[in-house]
Amino acid sequence: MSSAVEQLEGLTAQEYKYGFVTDIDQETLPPGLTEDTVRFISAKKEEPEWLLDWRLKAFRHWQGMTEPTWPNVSYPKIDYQSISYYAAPKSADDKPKSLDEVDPELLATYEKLGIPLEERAVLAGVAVDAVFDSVSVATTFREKLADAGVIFMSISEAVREHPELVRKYLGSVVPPSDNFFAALNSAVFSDGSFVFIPKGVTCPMELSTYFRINAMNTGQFERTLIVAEDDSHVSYLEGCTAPMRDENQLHAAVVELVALENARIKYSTVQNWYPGDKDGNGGIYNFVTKRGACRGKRSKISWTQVETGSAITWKYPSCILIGDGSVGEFYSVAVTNNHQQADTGTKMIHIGKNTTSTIVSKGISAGVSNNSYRGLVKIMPKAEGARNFSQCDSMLMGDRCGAHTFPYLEVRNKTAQVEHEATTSKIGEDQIFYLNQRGIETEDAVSMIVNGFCKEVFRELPMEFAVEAQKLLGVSLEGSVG
Amino acid sequence: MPAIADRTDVYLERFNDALARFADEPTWLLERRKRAMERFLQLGVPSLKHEEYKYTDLSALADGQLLFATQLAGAEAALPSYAAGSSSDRATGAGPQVLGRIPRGARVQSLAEALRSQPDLVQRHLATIADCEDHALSAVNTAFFSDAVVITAERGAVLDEPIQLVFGDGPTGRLPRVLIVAGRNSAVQVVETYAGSGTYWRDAVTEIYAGQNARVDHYRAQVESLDAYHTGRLQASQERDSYVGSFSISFGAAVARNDIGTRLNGSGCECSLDGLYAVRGDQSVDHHTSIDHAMPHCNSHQLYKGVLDDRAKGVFNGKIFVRPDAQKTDAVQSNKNLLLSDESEVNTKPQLEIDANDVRCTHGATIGQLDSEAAFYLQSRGIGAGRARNLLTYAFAADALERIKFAPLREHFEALLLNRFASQES
Repeated sequence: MSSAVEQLEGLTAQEYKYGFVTDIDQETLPPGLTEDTVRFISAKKEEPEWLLDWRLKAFRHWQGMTEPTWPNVSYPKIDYQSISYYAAPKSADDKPKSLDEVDPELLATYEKLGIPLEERAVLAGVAVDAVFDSVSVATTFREKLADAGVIFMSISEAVREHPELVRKYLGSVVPPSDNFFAALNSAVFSDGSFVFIPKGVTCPMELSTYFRINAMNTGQFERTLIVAEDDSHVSYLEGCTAPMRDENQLHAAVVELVALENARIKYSTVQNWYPGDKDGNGGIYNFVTKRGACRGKRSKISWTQVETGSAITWKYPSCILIGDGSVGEFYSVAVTNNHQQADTGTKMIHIGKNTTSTIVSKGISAGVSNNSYRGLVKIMPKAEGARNFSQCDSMLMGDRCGAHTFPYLEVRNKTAQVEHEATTSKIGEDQIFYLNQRGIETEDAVSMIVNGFCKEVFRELPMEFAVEAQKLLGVSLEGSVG
Repeated sequence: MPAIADRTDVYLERFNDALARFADEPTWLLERRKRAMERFLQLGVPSLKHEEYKYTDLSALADGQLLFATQLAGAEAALPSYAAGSSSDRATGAGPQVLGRIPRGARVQSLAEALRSQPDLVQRHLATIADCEDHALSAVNTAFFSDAVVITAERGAVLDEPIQLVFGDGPTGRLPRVLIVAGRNSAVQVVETYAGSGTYWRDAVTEIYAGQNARVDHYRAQVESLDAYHTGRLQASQERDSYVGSFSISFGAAVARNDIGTRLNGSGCECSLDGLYAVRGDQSVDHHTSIDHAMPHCNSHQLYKGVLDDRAKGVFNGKIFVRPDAQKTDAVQSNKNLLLSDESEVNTKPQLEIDANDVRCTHGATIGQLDSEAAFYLQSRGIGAGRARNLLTYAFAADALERIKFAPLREHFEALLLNRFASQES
């Protein structure tokens, strides 16, 4: 159908809406990675001895590792020595005490992104811990959270203020030697968020961090650690946009979640980093390790992600279901356009009895992009009565894009019930025709169909995120037609 | 790694010995054998580290002992009932037993005969359909097979009865090689049965060429000795509007590995790759299928069912490739597994690789156990626990078995499933 092709051409022609660079002086480390780099970062953050040792151990391990080649993505070899591993806004030394003191240019950046801090904080009741490159510059609602006993701060601060907690849990879910990118992150992680929800507490608001890569040529290595003690509950939102530039940027984050007895953690991501231009130049390399451990009985970890950005996405948010009756969930929408490549999915490792997991993955490929789902469901011999349901649907919007699925199902217990379903299809011409015939423009029709396709996932997102996610889909796929 | 190099040396030595045996063969075949050997020496016997072999341990095959050792004389393997018929008078050299009458319009020849009467056809297809570049095990067969069965169906010949090949005991049958060439508008049915006794490794390769609008129904029944290793490859190449149906039955062998694939080289092709595996004890069975949709307007269908008992292990990996030009592809794949014991294990990986947009591809995989309520219902009607289990297991496998059109074959395995737990009848 020619109109669909035109439509796609229109979509592909769209410029990246969030492309701009903020002019703030940065204290940046020259490119290169040696033990001294690791020591410099650690010293800069005034870290205790044990953390430096931990980083160095990870660094030495990383040196002996090779970059994985199994993902279904291709990119020019990364020169890890040409990347700068530390950048912080200069004003970091005298941190702002309130929003008025925040660098106005920084606030303007957030304005352009459509996330005015105070407005969002006040109106939506969301505490925002915004990471601007490597150092957190604004933390709001800290006191309100402190009243409830919730600790929500940057991980550098947490190392200073709650070293015992950080030391206990850091690296306990994703060990520094886990994989190439996790080891790299462990050695040079810059900053990130630390959340601790004490026993019996339901976090009074949804926690949110906006990450933004800004300095030229600076890889950003966040480290996020969320610990939910017995009977606690937290919902965490993560969203990102990045300014336009030509050189590829490396991003290797690690996220660790720990849920103890009866705890519930909901982790939502909207990722809209710069995907490169329509010829495939530039864009972010997003190599993320995300993993949650349901350690306690009846605990629950739920991952929801909307991935529309990045030139390359390599990301498998996983759940290790150790506690009896624990629940893992993964809801994902991955959109690739132009030359984007995504290899994403999840791992559900069932260890405890009566553990349940649900996987719903929706992949949409357009242009000449490649979208892969790679997932593992593993039922260990002791996991009596484990239950898994997986569904991975792909939608193809262009005759040169690719959709791939690599689901691994490994079952070692007869009482397990595992189901996997996958479908791949073209966007329905008859559906578009039907909507056209009802007076709906093709552009709106495509948007409607795509949103309907992703509905099961959007339903899982917190309300304000769901709105943003739909807008992001708009940016990625629709817009310029008509 | 010197340790491994030393081990493949055995193969090289054997190959150099065998060259004398191949002296009468045409040059092109010798070249293909040499290339296969070369490739095998590079690849080696796949280890567990190889992504395609990560669940099936073939390390016992590395030194070639199981393949080359002359087998001790033992009790002859009992053949399945349907295969117990009288053999035909067609001599096929060192090849298998050929059962029944050879239908009109078909030829069943040994390699030597085929090379005399239709050399061009053999040269075009033998060892070109089943490539060895990424298949170490096929490379072993290509390098060493001593005789091949060449089945050809004339243009327009519709064979009303299946051609049955039985590969039994004996060292000559360790490397079975079959080439099936179905001419334009022909219809062929072939049943291959593999049975044996003792400890050995059988490495079989079957190639199918389906001409335009031809129809090939292929059945493969593997009831090897429970101490044997069986590695089998079935590779088909299809011209436009052709149909290839494959049914793989895997009940025997300690470790079985089947690679079943087809390439759809013309539009309007159809294929269905189905199978049933039922294993127990410490058996391990591995099926890898691959359907390559290279052209538009083709349909493929796959249904694999597995029944696993005791400590048995089942592996299924189904790949569907849809090439950029293969618009209007309709591919359906399903793998269902039944776990009957606590220690049985299933690893399944349905894989779709799609590079065209106007397609419909679905796959599904399920793993579960027998419905205890259904079993209870049957018992409440006076049916013993063992029999109830049999009935439910049979019911699980029935829709796969129904796809076997050759009745004696289907009935044999139906009976086998129904009497599986006879000993537990109470």
